[in-house]
Formats: sequence, C-alpha cells, structure tokens
Amino acid sequence: MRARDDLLADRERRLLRSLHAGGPGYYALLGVLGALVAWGVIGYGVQLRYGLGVTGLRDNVMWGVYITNFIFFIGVSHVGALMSAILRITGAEWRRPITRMAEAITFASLLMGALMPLVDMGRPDRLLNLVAHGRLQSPILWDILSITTYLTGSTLFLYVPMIPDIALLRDRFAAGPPWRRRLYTVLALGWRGTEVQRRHLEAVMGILAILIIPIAVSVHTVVSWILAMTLRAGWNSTIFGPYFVSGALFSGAAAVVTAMAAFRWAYHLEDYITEAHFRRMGYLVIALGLIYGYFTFNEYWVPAFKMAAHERGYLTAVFSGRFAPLFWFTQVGGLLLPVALLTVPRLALVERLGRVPLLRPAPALAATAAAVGLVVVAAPGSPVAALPDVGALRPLIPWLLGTAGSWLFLALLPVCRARPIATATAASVLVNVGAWWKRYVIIVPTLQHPFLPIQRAPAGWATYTPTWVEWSITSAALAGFVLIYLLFSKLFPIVSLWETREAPPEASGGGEVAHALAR
Amino acid sequence: MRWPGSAALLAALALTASAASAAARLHLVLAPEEGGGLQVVAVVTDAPGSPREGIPVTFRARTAFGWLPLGEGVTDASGRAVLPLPAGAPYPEIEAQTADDPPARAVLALDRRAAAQPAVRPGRRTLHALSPQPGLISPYPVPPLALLGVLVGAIWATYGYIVFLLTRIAAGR
Amino acid sequence: MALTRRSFLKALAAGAAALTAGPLTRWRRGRPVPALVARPGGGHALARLEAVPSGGGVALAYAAEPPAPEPGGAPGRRWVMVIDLARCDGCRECTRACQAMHVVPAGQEWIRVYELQDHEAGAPYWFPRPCMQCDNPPCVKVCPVSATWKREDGIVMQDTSRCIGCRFCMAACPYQARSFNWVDPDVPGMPDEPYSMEWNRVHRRGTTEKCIFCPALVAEGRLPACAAACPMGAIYFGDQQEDAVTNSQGETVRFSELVQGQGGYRFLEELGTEPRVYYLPPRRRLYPAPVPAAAAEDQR
Repeated sequence: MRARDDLLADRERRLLRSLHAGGPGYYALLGVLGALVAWGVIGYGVQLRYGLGVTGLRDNVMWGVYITNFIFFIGVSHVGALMSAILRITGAEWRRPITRMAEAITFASLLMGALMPLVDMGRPDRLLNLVAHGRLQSPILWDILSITTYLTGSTLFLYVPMIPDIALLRDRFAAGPPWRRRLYTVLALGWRGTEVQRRHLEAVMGILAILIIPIAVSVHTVVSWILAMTLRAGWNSTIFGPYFVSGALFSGAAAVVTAMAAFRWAYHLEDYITEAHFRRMGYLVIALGLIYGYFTFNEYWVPAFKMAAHERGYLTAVFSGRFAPLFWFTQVGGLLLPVALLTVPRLALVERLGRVPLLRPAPALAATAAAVGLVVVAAPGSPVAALPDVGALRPLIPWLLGTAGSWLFLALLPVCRARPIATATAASVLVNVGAWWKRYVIIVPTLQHPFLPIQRAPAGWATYTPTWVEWSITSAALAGFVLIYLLFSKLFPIVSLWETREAPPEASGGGEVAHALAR
Repeated sequence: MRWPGSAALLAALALTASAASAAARLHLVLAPEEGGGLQVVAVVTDAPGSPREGIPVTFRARTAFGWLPLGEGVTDASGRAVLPLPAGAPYPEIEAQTADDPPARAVLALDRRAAAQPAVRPGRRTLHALSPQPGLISPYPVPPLALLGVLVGAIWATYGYIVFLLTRIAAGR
Repeated sequence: MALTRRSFLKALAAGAAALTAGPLTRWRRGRPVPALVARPGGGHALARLEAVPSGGGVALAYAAEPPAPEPGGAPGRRWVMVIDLARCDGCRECTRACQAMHVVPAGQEWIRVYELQDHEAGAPYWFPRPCMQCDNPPCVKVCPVSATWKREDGIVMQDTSRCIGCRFCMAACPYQARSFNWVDPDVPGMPDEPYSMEWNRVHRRGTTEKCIFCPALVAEGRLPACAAACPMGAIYFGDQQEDAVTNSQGETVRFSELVQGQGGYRFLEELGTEPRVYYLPPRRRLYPAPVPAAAAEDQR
C-alpha cells in the first residue's frame, strides 16, 4: 500500500516536496501575510470599538470598499468551480493540472467574500437576527442561501477529487507529524482505490460537476441583485445578473492564470503547467473578456445614448468627472490592454515590429515617461498648473497618454511575444486589479449621484474616501485569501496527482502506474 | 361600503337643553337615504319651538386632527337644512353650527368604532404586538416561496446524497 | 345586520329614555357628556360625546352600527401628508421640531429641506422631504430582518432594536430618507429612558433610522412634530380614510380636494414607490425663491 518514491515520476516528487516545509521565501511570505491579516484584525477591532464611523462611509455613500471586496471575491470565486466543472464535463484533458488550483481559489475567495458583509455590518452582534427574524424577500437572505449552498458545493467539489491524493499522502506521511497523519487519515475516508470506491467517486464527481454550474451562476447573479434590486440609477438594470456573471468569470479566469504562474514559479511545476496551459487559459480569458466587454458596453452605452435625467449624474461622473480616471483605467487597463496583450503578440506581424527603430523600447519608454510627467505636472493643484497656458493643454491629456501608451505597447510587443507566460501573467494581474476597481466604480458613483441632490451634508459626508481602516481590512482580506491558498497548497498537492496520471500518455506518465499507486 | 340596516330609519334626536339660548335652538337628526347614504338634518327652531327659515348652517365633521367643513345650508320653511352624507363616511361625529348670534351648535356622535390597533400588511397577524411580518411584503402578487424551497431543497438533498456516497466510499462498499 | 322595525322602536324608546334621563345626567360644559345610546341590536350602552361647544347647543345621540370595513381593506387609519411647496419658505422649523421631538443625532435630518430647481428655466424652490412612507416600500422589501416594515395605518416603521446595520434599506431608498448612526450617537438631550419604537428618542450606534410620522403624537391626537411646527401651515397631515388633512394653523381640508384642486403630485412617482406624502407644486408663492447659487452648489 505504501507509495514509494521510486514509483513516482520526477515531477511528482517535486510536487510532493512542496508539501514539506518551505524555504525562507515561504516563511517570509507567511510572515508578511500574517502581519497584514493581524493589522486588518486590529483595524476591525477599531471599527468594532468606535463603529462604522471610522470608515469613510456616510449616509450618502453607505456602501464602499467592503461591498466592493465582497463582489470582487465572490467574482473571483466564480471561475474555479465553474470552469473546472465545464472542463470536466466536456472532457478537456489539458485541465487536469489546473483544476485543483482553480477549485481552491473558489474555496479561499468564497471564505473571504462571505466575511466581507459581516465586516460591513453595523451590528455584527445581531448576526443571529438573520436566523431569528430572517425575511426571504430580502436579497440578503438569497445571498446567504446561495453562498452557503455554493460554499458547501464547492468545498465538496474541491475535496472529493482530492480523496485519492489524500490517501497517497496518508501513506507517505505515515512518519510525519501526527496531526498531519490524523488529518489525512480522516480525510482519506479509507480510500484504497477499490473498484467500488472508484465507481462511487466517479458518480459523485459526475453529480457535482453538473450541480455546481447552476449554483455558481446563481451565486453571482444574486450578488448582483444586491445592487440591481434597488431603484438607483446605474444599478437599476436588467442585465446586472449576466453582466456580473461574465465579469466574475473574466476576473476568476485571470485569477487562475495568476495562480498558475505563481505556483509554477514557486513550486517549480514547469512539467505540469506548460506554456500551452497559459495559452489555453489565455484563450479563455480572451473569450470571457470579450463577453464581459460586450455586457459592459451595453450597460453604459444604452443609458449614455439617452442621457435620461436620473442617469446623467453618474454617467457624467464616470465618463468625464471625478471617477473618469478610475473608469477608463478599468476599461483600458483592466479589459482592453489585457485582451490585447493576450492576442496581438501572437500575430506574425510582431516579428517585424522589432526591427523598426522607432519602436525600440527605449524611445517608447522615454515618450511614455515624458507623457506621464507632463500629466503629473499639469495636474490640478501643482504649481505649474497655475500657469495660464497649462489649463488649455488639459484636454490633450487623454490623447497624449493614449499616443504614448500605444507607442509603448507596440514597442513592447516583440518582448511579449518572446515571453508568453510573463505576458499572460501580467495581463491576468491587470485584469484582477481592474476588476476590483470596476466593482468600486459600479458601486460608488451611483451612490454619489442619488435622485435627490446631496445637500446639507455635514463636512466630509458628501463624498467618499476610504480610510486606513477600510484599506487595512481590504489588504487583510487579500492577504487572508493568499494565506488560505498558500496553506492549502502546503497541506494538499496543488496539482492533482492521480488525475494527471490518468491523463493521456503525452500529458503525463501513463495510466497503469496510476492504478498501481492508487491501490 | 354600506351602512348596515340602511333600509330602516336610524333615528335619533338631539335636542337642545340650553334654556339660555335666546336666538335659536338647533338639533340634528340623522335620516337614511335611498342607496345607503345618510342625511344629516339640522333643525333650527326658535325658543317657542317654531321653525326658523333662512338661517345659514355650517356642517363639520370631526376628523383625526380637526373639524372638517362638510358643507353649508340654509334652513327652509320647515327650519331644516340638509347635509347628504355619502355612504360609508367615516366620521365619528358631525357638528352643525348656525351663523346666528349667538351661534348654536349641536354634535351628533356616530359612534364609529375606534380605529383598530394598526396592524401590518398584508393582513398577516403577527405573533407579538408590533412584530414585523415575516412574509413577503408587496402590494403586488409575489411568487410562492415554495418554488424557491423546492429548488434549494433539491440542491441540498443532492448534497445529502453525495455525503451518503462518501460514507459508502469510507465503508468501502 | 339588518335593522328591523322592532329594533328601531327599541332605539326610539332608548331615545325617549335618554330624554327623560337627561336631567339626571351630570354634565358640564367642555366635558365629554355621557349619554345613553341605543344600539340597533338591542341593549344600551353608555357612549361619550365630545365636548359640548360653547354655543350652548346640546347633543344627545344615537349610535348607528359602525360602517362595515371594506372587504379586504384596512380598518382604521391611513395616514397621509400633504406638503404645500407654495407655502414653504425654507425656514426649517419642521427640521428643528423633528430634531427636538426625536432627539435626532448629529448629522441627520429626518425631514430635510432641499433646495430644488426642476429645470434651468424654473425657479428654485424649497422641498421638505420626510420619509415618504411608501405603500410599495423599497426599504421594507430589502430588509433582511424585518427591522423595518409597513404598518396597516400606512407608516413604515423602524425598529432599531432589531436592525443589523446592513444599510440595504438606505441603498434601496430613492429619497435619501434614511440615516445611519455611524458612531455612538452623541446627542446632548438624549433621554435616559427605555427605547420606545413609536417615540424613537433613544438612538444607538450601527442602526438605521428615519422619519416615522410621529406615531406616538398621532396616537394622542396631535399632529406630527414637523406639521405642528410649520409656521406657514405648509404641512398637512391627516387620515386618508377620512379624506381630511389638518395643518398647524388649524385648517382642516379635504385631502382629495386639496390634491386634485392644486395639482398635487408624489415625488418620483415614476419609480412606483407609491408614497404617502403628496406635494402641491410651488406656484404663486408668497415668499422669495431660494438663492439659485445655493441650489447649484451641491449639484457638483
């Protein structure tokens, strides 16, 4: 029954080694994450002590960064289970090394996402009122229902295909620390790889893979309804469900790419996660991004064409007002640029671009730096901005930045072509940063432009600026997400051993060994 | 809304008891009308009791916060001024006042049942006194909760089945 | 129940009895008068008549069966408010009275007087905004714990002892009518008394509050604080069942005539919230319009 090292392929040995204590980098990361989480806990303590008044939230903008986090995390959680389920059902073999990563993302970010409404509550001490007096008419109850259902389902979905691997670990760690052994023994459910057990496992996976798809879709739809079930201009939209689901899939797929890159680099999984995986995931990100872009376009273009009285306020603020930099960053930096980074370098034309002198990185970088410098200098409030002619230049800023940015983009294309994995990673990080800010831009401008104009608000109540408490808790939530993910990857192999063995021979080391080992 | 027993005359008389009133006496009579309405009849007489004609009478109704002017009339030859009261008029009291000097007033209590303790809508009585209702709140039709229950219940039942299969795995059977 | 001839005779007899009993009943001016009342169903009850007015007129009465409630309709009251914008001069006495009545925490105005201007060519006007007590209330629909709900008399009630502070109701309210206690409410005059939902004078951190039409005052037969305080008599309040609204100057008018005759409207009617607060448009005003600059300053 014991799995012996000589039966393991090289890459499997390397994978299992990542389960043992890591190097200094691991502990440093653990320390940083732990410190961030601790700092966030302190921030939450302050908030508990003094009330939500320590946040930047006030009567007009009563939801802010916490709800942004909530929607972001639930969104990121989306893809893991959904993508993995779809790929399983359709029998896409290349999925095998990355499904567990994706499912673990779902698990970790759901935990963090579910935490955020609690942090946002004014009276967390009355949490049980939701049970004692819960009203099913409220979308909050729907959220609780669907998130609980999804968390249960995705935990099962993560756990069940892990059982054969846990059994392997149970045997390998027989001499390890007792808590580990106990954990594996309990979780392995006495798995011996018998025919009956395999049949049951397959049945469970078949049910779960189908069941999890509608649940996952419903979760983010319900989350979007938290906003869409109100009358507010900008939220009062019938397409919020699919809009949010597509956005969630997009950001979630990008999160999987980021995780793939991180684990590939940290755990040396080059044998498992190849450039082909990044390419395929890239296709997925592109497709999801285009769908999301289509919904975004609908969501903004339709009201913008009409400019109805109530919508005018937030649309103006988003297109050209206070929120314009953020909005255009999410559109250009969080959608257009990542999709371009994933597609354009694949064109054969790019090879020739590198030979154009003007498109060398150096001049392009210089031009971009100059443009950014000009923008900073001309920003309102700087001493130069007071000069008479500077103000006249301000309308040129978008053009200036656009030109310099396009130049830089063209100049960097050959580099991107040469380094596809780094490019995909950069694109996915951009998508995730953009996704967070997009949620912010969906929530705050609408609240900032209610039906009645904001009047007689006490000083500082009319606009929203997140405070250190909110940022601390947000970074703690991100750190907590990474921490859970990291600890998970230290407890369980982040790449499924038995599934990668069952894959066709060209993708792994052959099925017979797997059968032999699973017993 | 109908006045119960509108077929019959619901009568009551109010009479003056003020001997001091030199000018006029006023009393109010309530009479049913065809179709369920009511008539408030103000009868103005002088001290000996003979009807007075041409006296303006103002009718008011008692409402939650003040007396609501309902209308004015002038007494006819029989000393009567009539105010038709629509069916179901919810006023607890009707007042009439002459414009004479000094004025005479009379009040007719309709003994409307005191307003019930406000309850929550849509009519679902709650367990304790001001308890909020647990159901769905909308003036419009809402889908039955059972649908949601079936959906969520089915999912959780499937989870149950999965856990059952897992126990089978654990048992190795 | 149908009245029979016999019961009518009974009533008549009762009236006669009341007449003879008249001298026996002890009554004083300005006091409720006990009177024998005949009930069509037989039996007699002692009813109270309201104060006999000074004119010396008298009343003895009679009681009919109360009108049967409309099928499916709510018995009792349906509170309604009418705000005459033509009379509002923006003095904010309503806000102050409300704050005194409910000891409203700093930063909140449960009835807030806005300066609105509908379009560029229009004159700016004052716009007092209490809670609209919607009949199709968005806040009530989204509350997860029934901390806010709709009473049968039309009031959207708020229970801060149950509220969990999720602020969904604030997001749902299109009228900005809800406020949140972001910190421990620091109100100098906050009484040291147990929390009473209908008075709502005790506030606590982390809960949502709003205008509730002063149900405690209304139960005593008094106008809500804002309506009673308005020096212009711009705020009418009353029972829609009675079709009567009263303002601070003692004017009691028919609600339907007021709203129909003066072009009454409900704010943001297009949202379908069915507010219980009606507005009369600000035409033929008796006071200067607000300074347009003030109206513009918050438009960003």
